[in-house]
Amino acid sequence: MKDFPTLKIAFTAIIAGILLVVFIAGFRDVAADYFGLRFGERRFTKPPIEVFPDMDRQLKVKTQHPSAIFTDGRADRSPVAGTVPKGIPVDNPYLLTGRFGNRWGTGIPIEVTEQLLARGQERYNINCAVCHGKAGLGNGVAAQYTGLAGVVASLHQQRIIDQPDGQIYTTIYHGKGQMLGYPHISVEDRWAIVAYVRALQRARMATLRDVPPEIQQVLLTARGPAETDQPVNSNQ
Amino acid sequence: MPNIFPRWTNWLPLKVALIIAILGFLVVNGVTYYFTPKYTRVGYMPGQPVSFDHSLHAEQLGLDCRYCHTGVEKASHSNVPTVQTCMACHLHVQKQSAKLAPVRAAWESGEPIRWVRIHQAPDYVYFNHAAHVNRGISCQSCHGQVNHMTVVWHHEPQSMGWCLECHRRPENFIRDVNEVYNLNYTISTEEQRILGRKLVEEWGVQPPQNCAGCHR
Ligand code: HEC
Ligand code: HEC
Ligand code: HEC
Ligand code: HEC
Ligand code: HEC
Ligand code: HEC
Repeated sequence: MKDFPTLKIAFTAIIAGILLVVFIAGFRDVAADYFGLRFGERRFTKPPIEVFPDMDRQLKVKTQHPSAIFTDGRADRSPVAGTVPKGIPVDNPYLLTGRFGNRWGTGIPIEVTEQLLARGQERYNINCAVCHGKAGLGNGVAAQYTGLAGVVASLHQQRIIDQPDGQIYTTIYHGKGQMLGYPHISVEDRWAIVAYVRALQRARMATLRDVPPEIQQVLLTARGPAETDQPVNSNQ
Repeated sequence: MPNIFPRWTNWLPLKVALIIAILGFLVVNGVTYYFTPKYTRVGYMPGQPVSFDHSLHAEQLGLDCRYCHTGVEKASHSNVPTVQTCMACHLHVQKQSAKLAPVRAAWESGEPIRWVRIHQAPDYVYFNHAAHVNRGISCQSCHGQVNHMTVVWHHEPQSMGWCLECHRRPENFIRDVNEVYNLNYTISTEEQRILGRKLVEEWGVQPPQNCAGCHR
């Protein structure tokens, strides 16, 4: 047992080393939570292991999940031909289609309130502004890219101003020409967007007479005396 | 009487106790870190069938999350967009790009693109997106700054303890409903405390802490 001390030292060193590694590892949580230290932040592509996988994944039909029940693998079934989804206003065809028979109708078939316009503005900014621009001039961010540049319509063209409301509604619903439709936008929201597009068009053609008197005064001082019938926004 | 135990065993019980204590501490700490979603999930970044880039689409183009994740404020499920959503632009933009070939193929065949799912609560958990985003809880609190990610990765553990951390103190996270989709929103801790308290009180926010709230 002459080399006993060396063995003992080596043995202690190994144990201490292992303990140190586990110790630091054990403290990762403490370090992250209390000291904000993150070492060895990792990215991995293998699905995370589930430590206790009991009932984590059940054999039920789930949204946007494939299903083994049907041969095409889709859990969401297409509606049977000729059926109508619940909540679709079949008894009010104008509300749904923007048409009376085979003619376009005009007028917003739901009550136009300030709330509806605010909703329309929000929906327009989410769904339309990337292409048509916040003001409807056809100059949104995406419209600057090759392919869409010069293709996106300005909503202030006389041709579109003159279109019946039902036609704009249908453009949103089914798209038109180079523009695809937005069938997922709800019926009310589509009409809210139509109302907002009308407001944008109106605002661009507004004259001084259209604004409340107190604001008229502000505008007049800002711009100097002008003909009250000229559009306020006549930079084009 | 001879000594049954040699002298060196005098300290043995203490040494054994010490080692067991240290090991116990390490095992508990290690397990609560390495065997929990903090380690198993955070950082999960699967390859996707199309190299879709949120930082380009959401930040550079300024697209609202709701342009694509259309159901998030209406439904419990936040849907991944349909191919038509992509084609609205990609019928025109980058028509020839090889990176978009799977999207065009899906558009022609009608087969869905099989995006790899990243965030997925166990099936015994009831989770509802609309209930959160309409109450001033931003995507950022639960998914991190997706608008700066080129490839989406699992940013938060989304474990039960993590859910409860917010359910117990929603005032630390809640914000104005108009800022929910603004992932670049910042606020000082001090202001957050004042605003958070005010909103929680005004809206009467009471996230469930009972088991049946989330395990229904
Ligand atoms: C992906 C870009 C894009 C988005 C998003 C978009 N549009 Fe368009 N829009 C276009 C293009 C391109 C045209 C030109 C179509 C043509 O002339 O073939 C167009 C044309 C139109 C027209 C004129 C149609 C006509 O009769 O000529 C209207 C109205 C319109 N869009 C409204 C909207 C509304 C409302 C939204 C939001 C729900 C919207 N667009 C979203 C690209 C877009
Ligand atoms: C142009 C469409 C588009 C926009 C805009 C968009 N996303 Fe996505 N998002 C996708 C697609 C497609 C996927 C699936 C592929 C992937 O994970 O990259 C996805 C995936 C995700 C995921 C991961 C889903 C999972 O499997 O767990 C999160 C989280 C997410 N998006 C959040 C956001 C947030 C937050 C915003 C707003 C800043 C946003 N997205 C904007 C299209 C979009
Ligand atoms: C609002 C319009 C818009 C929508 C919607 C959109 N993209 Fe894009 N996408 C763009 C633009 C603009 C670019 C950048 C083109 C460039 O840099 O020249 C781009 C680039 C890309 C690229 C990189 C192409 C390349 O070769 O560099 C991919 C991949 C892509 N998009 C996938 C998608 C997917 C998948 C969806 C649907 C979830 C989608 N995009 C929806 C506008 C859009
Ligand atoms: C309170 C936390 C929370 C908030 C806020 C939140 N999410 Fe989620 N998100 C989750 C959880 C949890 C899951 C997993 C849900 C499941 O498995 O059912 C998830 C899943 C997703 C998915 C994947 C769904 C799929 O089928 O692939 C997407 C996409 C997503 N979220 C987008 C968003 C967007 C966009 C927002 C903001 C508008 C948002 N989330 C806000 C917690 C949140
Ligand atoms: C950042 C804060 C936050 C996080 C994280 C969070 N929640 Fe919530 N949760 C809320 C708030 C706020 C409410 C709304 C309470 C109210 O409306 O009074 C809520 C409500 C709920 C409700 C009740 C919804 C309803 O329909 O009544 C459920 C269920 C729920 N959360 C589950 C979860 C689960 C599961 C997770 C974790 C995956 C989670 N939450 C994570 C803040 C959060
Ligand atoms: C805020 C929502 C919420 C509440 C309240 C809640 N849970 Fe959970 N619970 C979760 C989530 C989310 C998970 C899944 C965690 C994961 O995936 O890591 C979970 C998982 C579990 C698990 C399985 C753990 C595992 O890893 O197998 C059990 C058991 C459980 N919860 C029991 C309870 C009990 C008992 C209560 C009441 C004291 C409760 N939960 C209250 C959200 C909640």
